Amino acid sequence: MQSLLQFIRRNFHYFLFLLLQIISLFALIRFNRYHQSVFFNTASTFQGNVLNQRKSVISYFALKTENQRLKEENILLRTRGTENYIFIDTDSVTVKDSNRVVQYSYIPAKVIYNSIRKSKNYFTIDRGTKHNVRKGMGVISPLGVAGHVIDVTENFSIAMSILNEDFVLTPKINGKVRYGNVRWDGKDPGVVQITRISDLYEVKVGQEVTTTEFGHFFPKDIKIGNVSSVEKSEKGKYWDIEVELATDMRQLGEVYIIKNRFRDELEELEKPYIDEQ
Amino acid sequence: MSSRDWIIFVLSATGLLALQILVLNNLNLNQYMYPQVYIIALMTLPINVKHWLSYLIAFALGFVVDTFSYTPGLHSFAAVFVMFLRYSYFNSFVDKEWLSTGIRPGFGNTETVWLLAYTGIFTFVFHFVLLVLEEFSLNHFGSTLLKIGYSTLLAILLILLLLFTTSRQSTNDL
Repeated sequence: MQSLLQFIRRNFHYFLFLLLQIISLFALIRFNRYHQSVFFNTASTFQGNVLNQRKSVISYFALKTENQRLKEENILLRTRGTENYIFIDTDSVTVKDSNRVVQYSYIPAKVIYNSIRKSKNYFTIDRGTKHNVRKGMGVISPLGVAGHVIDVTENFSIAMSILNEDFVLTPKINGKVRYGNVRWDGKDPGVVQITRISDLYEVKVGQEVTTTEFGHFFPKDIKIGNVSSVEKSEKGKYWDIEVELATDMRQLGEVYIIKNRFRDELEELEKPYIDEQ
Repeated sequence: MSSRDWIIFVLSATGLLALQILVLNNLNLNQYMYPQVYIIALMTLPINVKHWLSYLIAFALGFVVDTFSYTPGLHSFAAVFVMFLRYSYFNSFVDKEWLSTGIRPGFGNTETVWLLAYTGIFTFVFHFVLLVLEEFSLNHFGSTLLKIGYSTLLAILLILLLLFTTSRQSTNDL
């Protein structure tokens, strides 16, 4: 301590010199419009270059996963066929394809905020009423179900994540509707649970879990995930099923908002007969 | 320096600042001539003046000029910088005995050749730092160098003239 003080005292004038120079430079750059612009232009050019370099390096590392994602999306798009369509006319005599009308259409969007750590998670999407997004539309990632829209503003919308204890979905297991509920227990963000599937049905690890049209959020056969474990529930009679999500909710980025053309009509019709969940 | 010397210093510095701000800064001889004469006040500080004091004086004078020419930081930077070099020179290359006499550089006090070299280098360094910093870019370095050259030459002439006349006056006074 003593020697430090001595050092400072001996070199006091150097410190004073540096201090005065720094004050001058600061004043020069801060208060002279020309110097300020030169300084900040140079700085931001430099910074921009560094950030660009960083981005190109990082995106290079991400190429592999990005590629994989695109491949999987391609496969999905290829297999995505008639399930998006519904016959509106039972009279099959009509000409060409005009007896079919698109029931589900997709709005591509980006997730700009996403949470997975709470028990009720939501994510924000960069599309809103301006882009025809409405409350109640399903949201999927290229790999599978992600959530559904619960609130919309002009440019953005909020979706309830599948990782939300309030999110309920009726699944198909191995292509068959078994009337259980897909629900998340709030623990592992990669795994959701299916409850109330009767043990009369055969359920095996690895079987595919997909959506049904119930609730009108999603078209049928959108992937939710694969069964990762099956156990008898404590009460018997039911299976406790765990499903590994197809969508990696931790890296939710590109999503599609699903527009069901007949949603309003269907809801209007069903309202008197079906209780809200 | 005695308190009388300090009063003289403050008065002469004020006069030099007035000359600089009111006359020379508005001279507009041509685009290359931008002579800074107030640095005489710094040059003629006693050779053994405390270094920290010389930095503070330089900063203060630079600050005043900056305030009146709307260039915060510019003159104060150059002035403190040149005083740092001055101190380094006196501390390293000058006979300690001569240094302890504490004379002020000027005609009659110091050798004429030494004074000419000292004035030339001091003025050049100051103008170099000042004008490069003012340009703040190396894009038109040629014109910056011309500016430095013309301004330095003109400033040296004015400074020597002022030093010469004041030294004669002071000998007359005595």
